[in-house]
Amino acid sequence: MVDFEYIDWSAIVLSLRVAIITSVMALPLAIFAGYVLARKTFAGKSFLEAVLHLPMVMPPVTTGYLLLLLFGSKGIIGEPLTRFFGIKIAFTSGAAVLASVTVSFPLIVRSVKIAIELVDPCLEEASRTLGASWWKTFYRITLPLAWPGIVSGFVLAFARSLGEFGATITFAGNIAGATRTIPLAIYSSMQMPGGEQQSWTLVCISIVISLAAILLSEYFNKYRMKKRPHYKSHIPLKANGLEAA
Amino acid sequence: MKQLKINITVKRPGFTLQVDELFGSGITGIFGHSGAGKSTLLQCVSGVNSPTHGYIRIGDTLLFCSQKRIGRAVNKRKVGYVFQEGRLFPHLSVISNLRYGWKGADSKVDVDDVIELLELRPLLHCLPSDISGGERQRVALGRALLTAPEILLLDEPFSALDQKMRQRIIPYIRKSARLLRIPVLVVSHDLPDLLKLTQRLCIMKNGQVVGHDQYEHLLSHPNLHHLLPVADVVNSVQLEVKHVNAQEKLITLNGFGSNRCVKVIMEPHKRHYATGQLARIFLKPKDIILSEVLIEKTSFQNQLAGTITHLSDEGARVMCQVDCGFLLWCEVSRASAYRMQLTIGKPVYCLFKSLAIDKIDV
Repeated sequence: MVDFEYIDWSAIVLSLRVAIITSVMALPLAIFAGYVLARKTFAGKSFLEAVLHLPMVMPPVTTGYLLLLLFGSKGIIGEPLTRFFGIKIAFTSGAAVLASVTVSFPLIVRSVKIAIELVDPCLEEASRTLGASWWKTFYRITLPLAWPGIVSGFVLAFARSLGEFGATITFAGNIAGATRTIPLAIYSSMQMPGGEQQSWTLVCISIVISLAAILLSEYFNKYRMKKRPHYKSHIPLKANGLEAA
Repeated sequence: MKQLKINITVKRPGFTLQVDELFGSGITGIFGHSGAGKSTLLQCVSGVNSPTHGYIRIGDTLLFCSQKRIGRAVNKRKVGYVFQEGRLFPHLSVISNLRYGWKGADSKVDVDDVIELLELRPLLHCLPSDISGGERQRVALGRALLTAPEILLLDEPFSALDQKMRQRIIPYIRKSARLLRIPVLVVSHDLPDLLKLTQRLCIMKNGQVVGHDQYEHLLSHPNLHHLLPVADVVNSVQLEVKHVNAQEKLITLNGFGSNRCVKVIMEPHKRHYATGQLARIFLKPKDIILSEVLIEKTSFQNQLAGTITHLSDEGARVMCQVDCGFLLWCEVSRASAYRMQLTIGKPVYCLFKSLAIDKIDV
């Protein structure tokens, strides 16, 4: 069934690299954005939230196209970047990461936001009356209590990056060894006569990676719950719109 | 000894709170019905809420002053706040909760002292979800004490507890107040509970303080009903144990300088009563029956002779103040008052069951 001869190792390594870089990069930003959206009120909050969530509902190809307009060699940001710094983004592995970050960011922000909203603000108030600074309150109370939601957001971002196709092929292209991730490799081998065996192998591998990611996060959550039995993960994985991927 | 001075106005839509009071060390009970502004007052002192104008001062330190534009951050106020629900951190063990606000070895308050004082030793490694409501409240109290506060605020510390638990938490609050010797403000809408804790009361009504004094002074106020709703009045008298009858499980108490005795039943869990020991009894006015004659062959253990010193018309009922060595408020129906022709100076007997008395040791 799975023939190791046909494994496109470069696609797998690239996919994993893109997914890991994406989720690690998105996490701190998402915690910040999620906290602001959950706890602060300001003018234009709904609009900001809508813009942040846009890539989740927009067709990924549209997102890729917009990224190309912005970061392409003639783009508003891409052009000066190339001219002054010699940095080229479009059609590089950096573009694959940027595309992934853009589409998976809303998922992780959403997950973190819900998790922080579920932390009782009264506990943060209690922490303040006990002399704790904002920062201590955040890392001793808010963050640990929101942890399960943050972990599931991280896994979602990882999974979404692994599955990213539309934005990547539009913005980063389908260059073997540079931007061809697993989904793109599957697509390419499907287009090739006699490529069924290779497609099938990659399909199996991507299922295994996704499953492993989810199991790992569940294990991680359970481990925390075992340590602190009252801990209840408020955020079911499905409720966060994995469908969008 | 640092005093707490509050002179603030808080304006909210449809509600104004105006307070100008000084609180010394020891426990002051803040009593009022919901909406009276008690919790808003505590929130302003803790910094969770901000007054519209005025100032709040502990000793010489201003916590808030609208004129000088001072508003200390909540975490810089040194105010211990025990919330109604305890608000323990669910992911931290009891000991971690206790240590949360502790300033380390330099702190004036020692962790072990607080653990011993509040008897928390067996709970230290439990999570808040594994302990009872009363224990949670004790941990919350300990956690606040360990921040070495300059004032301690307790917001409805009894409301989440059942009757039995309430009785148990009271000694701990009193011990805590003695340990720190700071002003302790306890908010409650339950007068009997508050009185078991302290006799110094600050009564709030519609955002105003209507009385701030020792309860017995408040009770002798001629217009008592302006201060307290009639239904809330409870007699509170301090007496001395005169005789203990272990066989009948009955204690005889008597007032200072008075030979009239009050008989109270012994609580089952308490075995040791010493003559001369002080005790405070609580008795609801509606549990007292007025009679013109002594009644023989009755189950009433207490029949105290006295004279009516004050009468207050409260619609369908009449509140009578009777001097029987100490003052007792009694409640009778208007019809009975009319039939008995109750007037000031009339000698009467106050009848009440020993079972109707609630007693605490002082």
